[in-house]
Amino acid sequence: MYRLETTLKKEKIKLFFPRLSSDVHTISRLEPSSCRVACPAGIQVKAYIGLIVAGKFQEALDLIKKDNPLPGICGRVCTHPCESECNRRKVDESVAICALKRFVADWELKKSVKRAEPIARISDEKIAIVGSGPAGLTCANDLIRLGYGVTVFEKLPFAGGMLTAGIPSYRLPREIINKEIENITDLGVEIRLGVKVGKDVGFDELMEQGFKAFFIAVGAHQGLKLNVPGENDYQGFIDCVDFLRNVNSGDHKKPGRKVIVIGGGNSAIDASRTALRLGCDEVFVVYRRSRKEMPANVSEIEEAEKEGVKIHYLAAPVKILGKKGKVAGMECIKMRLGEPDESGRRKPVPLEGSEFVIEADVIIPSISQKPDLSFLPKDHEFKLSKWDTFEVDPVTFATNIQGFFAGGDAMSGPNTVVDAIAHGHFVARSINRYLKHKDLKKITHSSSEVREWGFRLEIEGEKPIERNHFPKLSIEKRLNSFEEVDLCFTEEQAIAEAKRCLRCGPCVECQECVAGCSKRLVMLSFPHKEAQEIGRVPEFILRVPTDPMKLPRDKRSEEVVISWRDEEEKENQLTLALEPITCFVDKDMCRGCGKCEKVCEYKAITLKPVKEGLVVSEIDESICKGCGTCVAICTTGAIKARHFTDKRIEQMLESCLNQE
Amino acid sequence: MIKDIIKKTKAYYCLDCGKCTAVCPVALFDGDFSPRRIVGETITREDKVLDDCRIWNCLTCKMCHERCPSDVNFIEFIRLLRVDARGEGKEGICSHGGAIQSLMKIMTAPNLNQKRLDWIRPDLKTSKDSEYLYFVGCLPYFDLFFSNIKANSLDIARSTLKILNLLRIEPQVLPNERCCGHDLLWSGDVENFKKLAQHNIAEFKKAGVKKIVLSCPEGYACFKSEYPNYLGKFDFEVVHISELLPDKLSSGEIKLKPVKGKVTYQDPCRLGRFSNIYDNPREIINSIPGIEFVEMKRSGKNAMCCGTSSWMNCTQYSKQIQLERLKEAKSTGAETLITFCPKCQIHFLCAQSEINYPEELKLKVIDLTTFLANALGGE
Amino acid sequence: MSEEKKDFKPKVVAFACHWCGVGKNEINAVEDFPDFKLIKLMCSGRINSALILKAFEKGADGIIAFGCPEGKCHYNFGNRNAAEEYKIAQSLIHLLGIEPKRLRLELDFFSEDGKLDSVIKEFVGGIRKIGPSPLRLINENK
Repeated sequence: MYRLETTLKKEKIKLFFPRLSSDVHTISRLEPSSCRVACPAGIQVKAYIGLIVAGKFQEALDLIKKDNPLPGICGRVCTHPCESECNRRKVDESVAICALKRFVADWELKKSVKRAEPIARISDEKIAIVGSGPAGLTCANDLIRLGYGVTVFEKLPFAGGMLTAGIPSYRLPREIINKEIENITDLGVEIRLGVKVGKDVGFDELMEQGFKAFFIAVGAHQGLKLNVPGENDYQGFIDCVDFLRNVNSGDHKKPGRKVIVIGGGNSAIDASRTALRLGCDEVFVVYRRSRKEMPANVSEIEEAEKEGVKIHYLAAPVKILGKKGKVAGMECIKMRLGEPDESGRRKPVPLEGSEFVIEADVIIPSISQKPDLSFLPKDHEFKLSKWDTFEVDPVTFATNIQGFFAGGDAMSGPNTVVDAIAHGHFVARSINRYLKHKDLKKITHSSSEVREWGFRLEIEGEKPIERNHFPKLSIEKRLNSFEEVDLCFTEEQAIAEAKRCLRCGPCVECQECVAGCSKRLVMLSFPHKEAQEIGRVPEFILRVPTDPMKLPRDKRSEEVVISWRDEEEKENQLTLALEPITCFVDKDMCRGCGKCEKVCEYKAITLKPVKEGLVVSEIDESICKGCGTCVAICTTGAIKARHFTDKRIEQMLESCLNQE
Repeated sequence: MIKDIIKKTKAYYCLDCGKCTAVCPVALFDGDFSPRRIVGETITREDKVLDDCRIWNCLTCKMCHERCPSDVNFIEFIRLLRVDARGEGKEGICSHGGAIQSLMKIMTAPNLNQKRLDWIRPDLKTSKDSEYLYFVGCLPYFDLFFSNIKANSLDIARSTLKILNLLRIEPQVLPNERCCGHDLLWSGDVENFKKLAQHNIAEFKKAGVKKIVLSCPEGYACFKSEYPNYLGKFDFEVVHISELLPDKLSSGEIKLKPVKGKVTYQDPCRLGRFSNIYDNPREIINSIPGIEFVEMKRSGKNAMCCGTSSWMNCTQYSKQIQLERLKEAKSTGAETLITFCPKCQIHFLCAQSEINYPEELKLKVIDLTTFLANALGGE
Repeated sequence: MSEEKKDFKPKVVAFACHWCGVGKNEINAVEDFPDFKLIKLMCSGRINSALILKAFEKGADGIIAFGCPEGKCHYNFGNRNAAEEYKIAQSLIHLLGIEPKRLRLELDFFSEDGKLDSVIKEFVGGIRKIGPSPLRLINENK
């Protein structure tokens, strides 16, 4: 540690003080838990589950809202990658994290909550967000909290993007979406519905109106073509997105008698279950791989099958059959799974001569979507990928045009809600830095750092506890209505389920100590100001100024990386373990003169008898603040300051006096 | 080379008898410290000794050498080891944060312009051309630095000058004399010792003096033996104040007034065992009318050290040595302990100033020159 | 002589407590004076005469120590200790013949705006006038 100063700081002597002077003690969680790492939005999963166990539902919800402004929505439709990484799976089944999130969100809905006050505007800059989906809403939520003016433009007559247009209300009731959007508009975000940016109002016009930054989060609403013969020849073809949007806009007309949905994603299942609810006689899903590869949520598939959807696995459309200009059916071919392709999934291979026909009058392709770019002028200069998505810097989410950022499905192609939320956060951070004229490149996102989860969990001896299952609407009730299928946990169930969490790691990061300390002595802070400003830091550090350091010494240190340029302008890095400066007594050296005891204002020094008539001073390092007055006063040199010895000061003096 | 050190100090002749350890004041309290063992271990494992922090604990009081049947010069042995250890970047633990070492090193600066003569009161006579020089040494610095324990070290200087005046000597007192270098030498810093010595010799030559009077036994021993040792010819007569006095006192040239009280005397190692001056101080004390002089159990050649030397490694054991010595002094029934070395005085005063020092052991500690000066002026 | 002083770059060591304005923010004043070598201590109470003498011994032309004002020490009374040690050090350097102007303790530089700047300017200016420390030679001989 010392060398750094003497040899490298040629121009200016700067002392790297161990930042942890013993005024501060830390509870440091070096690695976030695996569920949090898995979550694209980095929600503090373990923490809110811990709070649910304690019955602190409001606190749990507040904590979720820090990273996710749409908990009720995510609690219903999230693909919950957290559950796939849950360590409980090593014992039995993962904790029902998603359902627990929904539980606290619903819990709040049930009671009357005071509506939030608008956030005071601090800066004059206005930001335009194109698209009111999860990415746009999250970004708007973050930016309004930073004091900017935020306006969201939505082409459709309702807000929510794919949440409202694409997800049927039996999975995601409209009032949940409306409530959570309301929470955001309450803060002062303006949402202009039915305004098509680029057509109704141009980008130039918006710039003239004073919008300084743009976030394009238009989603991916254009279905891809099947590219099979007959596709464009017959009536009865509805793209999945259009179909769902129409239904969700209130058009509950029966599309036909027999329906084929092509695809295996959540929207394919949504379309099939929606068709059943509209009164269609038979609904088929055709998917080219097996059930195991199907991207839709397992529970969705299960429920669809229960409701009567017939799924043809390992089948692909060959051509569309028609009669009198209308769809009459579809010829399919059976597939088998071959070698894995670049996505890791096994590639379907057609089995020759296995063709078969499914009769139908409606075909809903739901294979994938791409962004609808019709809002852009013809001569736009945005860099696009071959899938028509916006190309952005992977870290800053900035497009090739200054002031324009893109995220969500418009950037990534069809993706999950929670990914869109994560994009919203990242873009908000970037826009903030952009407007403050800070280097965008300095941003780091925790998700871009691959961190190994180093905590070793002892799962031996853990008894399996059956996962709690939330109740569901009965099949009969489902088929004639769009009532929500998944019902909520009861309080008892939620607490019981939360108790299944193994609490990987010592601190659950619930931050209750921060809120609970009446003297405001506990602080939550990040090691670097800069890091705090530009993004989430995976480390969680609690500074507890008065907590005695009863921890073993090796647990008290903190590692800090210091980088510097050497004479050849080469970037160097060094990891330092920092420990607090405290003083200690070399017992053999101490004469027990008692001077130090008098100067110690903290009563950290006591005189302990060692022999008859002989005392030796002793420093309680948990109380010592490291001021060094006792070191200065000690006549024998028995008291030394850890990490700040006389020798070190001497060398510092030498190094700064010998430089020319 | 450690082999040379062993040869030079006759450490090879060590008989392993352990007499040194038996009399060593450090070993008396610090079970880890034993001169015999250090010598033995050095002979068998030469390389390790320089890392051994025990070599800095020796007080160099010469008690061991005094007793050694084989004339192993243990303290010289230790000193030379320290020189080598210092060469490897090791050093003892400086007391007072190294302030005194810094003072000594600062005095190696060639163009120093010290303001150290403020203590000379107008009634004290000095001259600019006397063949005598009074070498004051560190006293002005000690007086200031140890003002918190009321060492009043400059009283020694004033008393010495007063006595010299009485002997019709009006010595030169040099404004830019340096520290004699004794402590640097004994803590192994030969380089700076030599610098100080050269400066001093130059100052002496410039002043044209022939005789150097000292009130400090360390400076005396240092000028007498170490300067010639390290710098060759040293053309000055070195006189300790105690050497001037007995004749004059017994002849009645100096008259003393009676002082009541029971006193005892601490032999400084540099005056006693180093310079063999045991009787003069006692004669001086005994010449003061009314004084009852008692010897401590360990006195003269066996006198116990004051606990610390060279301003380093002042340890818990130093304190125990001091307490032991003070107890011994007190047990004679004396109420005053007379020292003859400013450092002995400081060390004993320091021990007494510390917390938990037993009230019943409180003793007046005074330097012999001051004690004598207080008795001057008798009929 | 005046020629010499023109080239003279004073080496000034500043001991600053971690909590007073200087140590806390490493304020611009210190950056503006390239001759200033800042050594941060946890508290001005760590300053003792040994530290000051050592800095002179190593060749400092001037030493200025910063601490918190009386009553505002982060550790209650560390600055009192500094003031006491400063007194002893001041007398010691007087004995050694080092100009007293080379050593300064500043405990109350935040009472007025810009006082710190003027204190530093005055101090460094003073050192420039006196010239290099007599102890520089020990170090230059090395």
